[in-house]
Amino acid sequence: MIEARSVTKILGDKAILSNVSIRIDAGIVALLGPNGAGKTTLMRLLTGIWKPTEGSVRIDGHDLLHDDVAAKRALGYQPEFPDLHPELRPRELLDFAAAARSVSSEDLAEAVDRFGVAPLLDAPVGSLSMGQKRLVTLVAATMHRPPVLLLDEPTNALDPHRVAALKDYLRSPDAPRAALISTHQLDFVRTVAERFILLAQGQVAGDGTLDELREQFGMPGASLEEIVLAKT
Amino acid sequence: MLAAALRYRRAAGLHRALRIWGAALVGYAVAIGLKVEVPLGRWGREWLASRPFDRAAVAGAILAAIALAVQAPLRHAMRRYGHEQIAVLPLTLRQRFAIDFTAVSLFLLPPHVALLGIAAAAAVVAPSTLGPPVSIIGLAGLAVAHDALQVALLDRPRRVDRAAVWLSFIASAFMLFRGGLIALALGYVLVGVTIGASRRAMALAEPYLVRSADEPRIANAARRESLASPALYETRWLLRGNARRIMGANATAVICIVAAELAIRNNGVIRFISTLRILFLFAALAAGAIAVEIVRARNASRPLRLVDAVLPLSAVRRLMSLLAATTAFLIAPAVAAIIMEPRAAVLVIAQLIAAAFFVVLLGEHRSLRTSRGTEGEMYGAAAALAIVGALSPFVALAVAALLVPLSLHLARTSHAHCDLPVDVPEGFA
Repeated sequence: MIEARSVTKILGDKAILSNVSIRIDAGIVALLGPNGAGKTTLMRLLTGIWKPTEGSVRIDGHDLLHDDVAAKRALGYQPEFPDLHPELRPRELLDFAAAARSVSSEDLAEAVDRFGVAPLLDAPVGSLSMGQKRLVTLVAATMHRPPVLLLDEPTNALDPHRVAALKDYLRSPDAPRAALISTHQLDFVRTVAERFILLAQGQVAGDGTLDELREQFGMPGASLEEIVLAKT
Repeated sequence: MLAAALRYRRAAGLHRALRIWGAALVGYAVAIGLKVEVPLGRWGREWLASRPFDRAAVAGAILAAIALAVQAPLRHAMRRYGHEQIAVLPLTLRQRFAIDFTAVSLFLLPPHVALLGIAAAAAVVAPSTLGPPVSIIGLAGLAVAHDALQVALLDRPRRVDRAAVWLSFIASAFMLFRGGLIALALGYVLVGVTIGASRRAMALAEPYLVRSADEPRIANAARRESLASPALYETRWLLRGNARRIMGANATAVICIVAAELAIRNNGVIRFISTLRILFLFAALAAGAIAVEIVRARNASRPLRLVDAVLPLSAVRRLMSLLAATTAFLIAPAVAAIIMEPRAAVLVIAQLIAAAFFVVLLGEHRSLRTSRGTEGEMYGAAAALAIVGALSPFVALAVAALLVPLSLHLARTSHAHCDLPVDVPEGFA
């Protein structure tokens, strides 16, 4: 569902990602790593917002460079910074996204209700808090029940009720078949993710379930936090 | 203290307002060169001969337009940067007045001296030569007034806003039926046209698109899908987020077209080919002005586009939405062109749109490629098109036709190979 093959991204003369390959066929996977490891860059490459300097990305079997419309149809994405047009209203953004994705009004209403966004629909985006904007982007990312979901720091600025709503969604029948969550919130991903990809200095440092990581790194009984601290 | 305060005022934004006078000086030079002159003498006689009520109404409208024209950019410039720093200083009311009065006087004085100097050097200081500068200022006044009106009225629809919109229409109809004072009437029509094409109209139309207030509003999303097309979305956020910039460019474009007509009329141009040359020259400049502002607005908003960047829209659909938005902003100059020169309107509009598309896509492509400003290149492209148009209208049309596939190629290349800049570009923070 999500596949990056030997992806390299060079900005200026600096390689942000070097020869990164990941493949997620199903399930929820967490992308972990320190600040500057290249997590957000990888997310941007997986969404087509940025193009890889080398390598290729496939989403739901579609090459993101050559068949981007089909790939994006299968994709839901919540960016790290929910910078929305401050002069627009959430309703306008969501109506547009719904029309572009052929989402019915019922499905849109369901996504709006799921994250409690209904009271915010007609407020100018500029007047919303960071957490409220993030909820709007969550609705935009999930309204079409995407088979592939990419979430970049999804819990930042969210209150515990909304974090619980997100967890419920990720465990519900509507959940995406494959999801990649980039985050520093280990408590959150420990409860929803079954596999962890560790990124360090633009390269994959580890990939597997918690038990597989313990085995890979020779750290029996180590917690996820201990592995992340030691290996990234 | 006053000198230090004035230096601060200038450093903190007043010098930006001087650009207005730079533009006015260029406009004045062009006006002299092309004998662009509004028949102010005839209008003045008509005005004096009219009834007292009409006289007062016309005088009030013109004064209000000029006052708005000067006040809005000046206030914007003075409050843009560093206003809070002055506000917290322990200054008396008199000191504050002295600083602001002197700053504004210094702002107003140089251009007047420069205008007089130019007029004296040209040895044409006679009543008739007062026409061009006053005309330019009057037209700019109308243009900026309608811009200010939009910015002031939009987003919060209130009864007084609706009343103002309707009043502008009634005034334009009244002026048209009265005959004479055509430019003033045209100004009012342009107010109506531009307002009609703006977010104001969208805000007014929105309640009528939701059929029943009793149903949950989100359930009506499907009925309002026409509002959510990429083209309308593009137009909508460009207008909401950058209304002043877009409308300012549009007003510049209208002035270009009006200046073209005045140049044709006042120079006694009668050959169709010569008429076309002048119109093409100004149309390309108008297209350039709009295109530069559209690309600037899009550059400024790119960091906000992460959500819509991943929607499943093809390169062609995204291109079409950008072009539709560009076309929407060309409504006012197109209407002006049709009113001014019906015979050449179609050709002029074709040139206008082709040039704007090309310049928009060139700027879009280059700014995506380099993540930096490309205004010099865009102005260069617009100027080149203007020169070609002035030399040979038919070559210009052929060039415009060739630009369409080139524009499409640029758009596709950008879409396929360029990163979307998601960090705030320099200068737009």
